[in-house]
Amino acid sequence: MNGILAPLVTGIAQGSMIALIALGYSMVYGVLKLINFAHSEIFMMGSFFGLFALQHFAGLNPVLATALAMILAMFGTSLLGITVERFAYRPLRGRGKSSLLRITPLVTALGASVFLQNLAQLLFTARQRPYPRLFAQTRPLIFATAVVVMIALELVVKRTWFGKAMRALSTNEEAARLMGIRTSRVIGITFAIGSSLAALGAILYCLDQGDAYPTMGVGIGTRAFVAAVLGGIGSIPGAMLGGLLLGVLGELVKFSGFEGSVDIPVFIVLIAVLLVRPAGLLGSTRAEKV
Amino acid sequence: MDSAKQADESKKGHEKPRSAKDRFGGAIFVVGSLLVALVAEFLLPRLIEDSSVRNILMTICCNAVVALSLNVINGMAGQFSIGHAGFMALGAYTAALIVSAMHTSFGGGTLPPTSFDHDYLVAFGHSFAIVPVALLAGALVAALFGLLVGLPSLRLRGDYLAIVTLGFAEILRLSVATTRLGNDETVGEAVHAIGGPNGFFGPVFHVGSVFLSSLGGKKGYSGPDGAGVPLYAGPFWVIFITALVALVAWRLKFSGWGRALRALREDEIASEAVGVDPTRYKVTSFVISAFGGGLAGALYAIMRDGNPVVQPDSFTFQTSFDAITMVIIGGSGSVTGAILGAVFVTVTVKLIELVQHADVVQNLSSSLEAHGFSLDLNALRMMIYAGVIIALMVLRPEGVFGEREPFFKKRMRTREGAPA
Repeated sequence: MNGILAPLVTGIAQGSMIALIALGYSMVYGVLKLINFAHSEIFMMGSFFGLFALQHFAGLNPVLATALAMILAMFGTSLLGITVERFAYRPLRGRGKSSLLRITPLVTALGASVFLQNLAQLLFTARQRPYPRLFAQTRPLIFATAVVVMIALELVVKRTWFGKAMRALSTNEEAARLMGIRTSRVIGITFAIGSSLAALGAILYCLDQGDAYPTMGVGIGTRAFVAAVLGGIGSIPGAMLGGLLLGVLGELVKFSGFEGSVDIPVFIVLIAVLLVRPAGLLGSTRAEKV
Repeated sequence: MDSAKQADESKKGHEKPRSAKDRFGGAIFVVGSLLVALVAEFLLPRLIEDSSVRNILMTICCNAVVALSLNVINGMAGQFSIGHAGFMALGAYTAALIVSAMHTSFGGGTLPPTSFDHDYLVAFGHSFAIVPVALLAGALVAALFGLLVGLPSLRLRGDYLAIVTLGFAEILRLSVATTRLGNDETVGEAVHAIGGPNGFFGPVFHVGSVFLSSLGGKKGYSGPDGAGVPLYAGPFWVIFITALVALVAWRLKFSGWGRALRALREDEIASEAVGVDPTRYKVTSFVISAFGGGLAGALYAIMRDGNPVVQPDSFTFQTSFDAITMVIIGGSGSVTGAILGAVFVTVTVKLIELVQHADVVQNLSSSLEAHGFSLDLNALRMMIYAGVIIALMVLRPEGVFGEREPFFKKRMRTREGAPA
């Protein structure tokens, strides 16, 4: 029984990071009903921004340097997220739902993802870049950050004017606009918040696991996406739950001595959940979506 | 371009307008392409000495099949599949296994070079027994998996099909690439714990994992003896199958079935009201698309002048994205558009491979790397494609040709004017 405790703790730590990234998928889906495929690449970009910032602040106190790097990376990815929204998603909005137009947002989302990944390939080369080892123990930092972020996000969504606007937009975009909500601005801010959470998750992930490289978004981003769908895409507690479940699942699979890739059981779980409960564990058609 | 290929294309161009009036247009097209393919089989190796150029021509044909099959689900049905590479992989591995087995039963040995001698003609004769079986088996296996994937996911909202197809393709690729046998020939301690090869569930896992690990993992499958998959499909097969697939795609589009599918895409509720069962039509179109994907993968695996090793890395997400690019650039729903998209994408991919290895680029690349950048032309190509696709979706969501069939204006008008 003792042997299984270590993978459980590791799994929960992994899961909290996955949950941070899953939140970005979930928030954008809640507002736009769009799978933001580019989110995993924003996560990847966030890890590079964080790396460059950490290299720049190498002489400082590790806690201060990490905090500064997080702020800078969050700022960078917010800008990136807003840019992606501006060029790939906004022009398509308000075009109606006829024929081919239904899949166009999916196509541009996919295009934005491929674009960013290859841009990183060109700018940063394909090699893996090691993160500095700043902390002996990263898990307390991960837990603390994840809990603080979850509570803060829940407060923002439930208690602020902006959160109310987001929920209104999620329920009915047309009606929200008629009620005087600046939908474009709310969507932009949603992208900014989601992207900055991805940067946060990226820095935590890299401090814990090591390297930054252009294709890292494919693996981690996909897992985060599966977590969001698993928990019920569009719901904040769902993303958290999905992330934790997936983190623990991944570690248990490794613990079982399975020789293949961890992504195989991850995708199998995803497909199984979609078949049995397409709205995810906590999601339902009537649930309040963010 | 070689004359055989041009002859093939001009023949199609002359035949099509007549076939609208002629009831036997399809038969004429089949016989015509059969003759062109037969001529190409014997003339192509003479006309084009360089096997890499022949490889480009054959790859164009394979990719045309890929684009035409993806066009059924992404273009005509208006669904969004992003895991077409998974079906290609299924077809490729199935065909490679069957061709290898049949080749051994026909006596084995290396395939003769493309000359007119006796050995070559014998091998060409054997290909009539081997290639249809391999292609059909590959396509059927892919279609079966298409049914398994499509049946549940097409009942859900459109995005879910995208996720499930992506997940499916990745599971397939990763299973083949990473399955290794550990102690007691099981894939893990957990499987070992439930009995290994002798337990209750064990045998199922055992057979599955032994089979998966026999496919060569990341290095790829290269025949039972590791000498490479015997490449039986010469220009005859590749050109003939591509022509057949093009004909079928064309006929599908203008059939009642194709019209029902397009009606469904435009308005699901309205078409349901007039008696089009959405799930049935969507699943059928998905299975047809998977069948075509499997066929393309099979053709790709056993095509002469191609790669004799079937590797999981040929079926990554990039392959699926390239297929989507072919369909979208040409115009979703257009048969000619899909073919032109396939030609465009294949030629640019191959050109970039050539340019990347040129000395100038290599020098420039190494000097850029000193500054921390990299000159990966393939990454640049993907970036440009992605940018073009986003711009296309914003400015012209229907693609370059939309649903029109360029070069076949007459037929389109008469057909669209006809009562449904």
